[in-house]
Amino acid sequence: MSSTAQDAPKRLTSMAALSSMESFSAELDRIMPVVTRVARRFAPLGDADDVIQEACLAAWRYRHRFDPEQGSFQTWMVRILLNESYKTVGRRRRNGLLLGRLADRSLSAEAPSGSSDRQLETLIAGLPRRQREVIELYYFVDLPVQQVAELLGISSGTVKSTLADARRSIQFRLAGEETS
Amino acid sequence: MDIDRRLHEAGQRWRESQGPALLPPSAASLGEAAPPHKWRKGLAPMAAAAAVAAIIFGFVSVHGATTGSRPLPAGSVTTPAPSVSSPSTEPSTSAARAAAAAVAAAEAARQRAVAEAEIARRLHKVTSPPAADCVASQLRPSLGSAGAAAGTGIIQILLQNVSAERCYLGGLLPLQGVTASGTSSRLIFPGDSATAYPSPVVPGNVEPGNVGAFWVTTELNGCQRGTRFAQLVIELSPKEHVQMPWLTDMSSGCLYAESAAGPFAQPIPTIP
Repeated sequence: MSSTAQDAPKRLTSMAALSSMESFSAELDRIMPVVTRVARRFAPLGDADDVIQEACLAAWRYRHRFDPEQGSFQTWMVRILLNESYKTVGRRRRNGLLLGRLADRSLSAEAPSGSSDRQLETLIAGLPRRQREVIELYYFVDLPVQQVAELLGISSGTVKSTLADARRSIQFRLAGEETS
Repeated sequence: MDIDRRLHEAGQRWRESQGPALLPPSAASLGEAAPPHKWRKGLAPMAAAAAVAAIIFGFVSVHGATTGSRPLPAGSVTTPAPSVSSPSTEPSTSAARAAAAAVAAAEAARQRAVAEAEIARRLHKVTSPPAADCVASQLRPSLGSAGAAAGTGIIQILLQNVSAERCYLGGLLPLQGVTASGTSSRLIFPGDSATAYPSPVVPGNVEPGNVGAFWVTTELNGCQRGTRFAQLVIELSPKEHVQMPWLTDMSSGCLYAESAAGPFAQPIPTIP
């Protein structure tokens, strides 16, 4: 596990720290590694940077709504980012452009170790949305279970059971593909 | 292998394959956040214009020089990049820094398609004028590469010219799926070919031993798996059909779009 994803949320960001543009930017800088990973996993291909910009601007606009008691700045920011990602996916789908935006996550970059990871990626992409979310956030973005739970507004137990369901589903499909 | 461990390892490899974190908007641009989207509206055309300029002013040549792995066919006509000096990449303000980051992202996003398009353009140049249309006996089909990301699958299908004669390949090739019992169905792609994976090929001649290619994109989220046929039939013309075993990747989601076919660089370039 990377220290960035694990340790960053432990620093509670106060409202005061978000009041000035400079300090807000500094907070953003601190969590950008995780934010970037989330955007690259959830935003349409090629749109990660746009989604991040939109999310950052939305966070700045609505910074008065951030409540440190409800969770970390990183969790709040990632939740906004997820919403922006889904909105962008919806827009792209409506415009019929989603499938044309594939350049920046090349096949080779997406599955660097060859067919094994590629097969996993395909199976993950086919999971129900909630299962895909927890798999992406836990295994690929590298967030701890507790933070995935906060992010999705569910309990840690539910995250663990959803992870188990998703793993079972992937295992089942893998077995099916290997025998077919 | 234990699926939990396998996912952890896949996640680790994915993280290691990613570049550095993207940059957030600068403090200055946050200050322009009202009215909404003002910052982005100003930057998007700038990024697009810079990307187009990069293409025009020989970005491909620069890229090719750094990777050094894109051999061109014998007799290729190379066009030297104009000696236009690009503006300094050292941003002097935070806004400039954000703009530079966006431009870099746009360039990265187009890097692959642009490089491949340039190869195809040069290949096309040396293979004109068109030869006779390819016939089924000349082409050997195979799966090139396939992958999935963000709910989208991409399948590259290669057509190698195994004859001693060059032949002309181009346009959208109708596809059919054939079941084990011999029933064939025309494959329907609801998406426009322009929304398919950006095909780097243009119509042209496929030299003996070289390959042609086209791409199929599938949507993996929110739809049931497609029919798993026994054979895939590629129609070069109403009477000329190339047949290959069905590609399981084409059944892992809904068929969405097919790109146009055309000659592809030989050897097949390593995608950066």
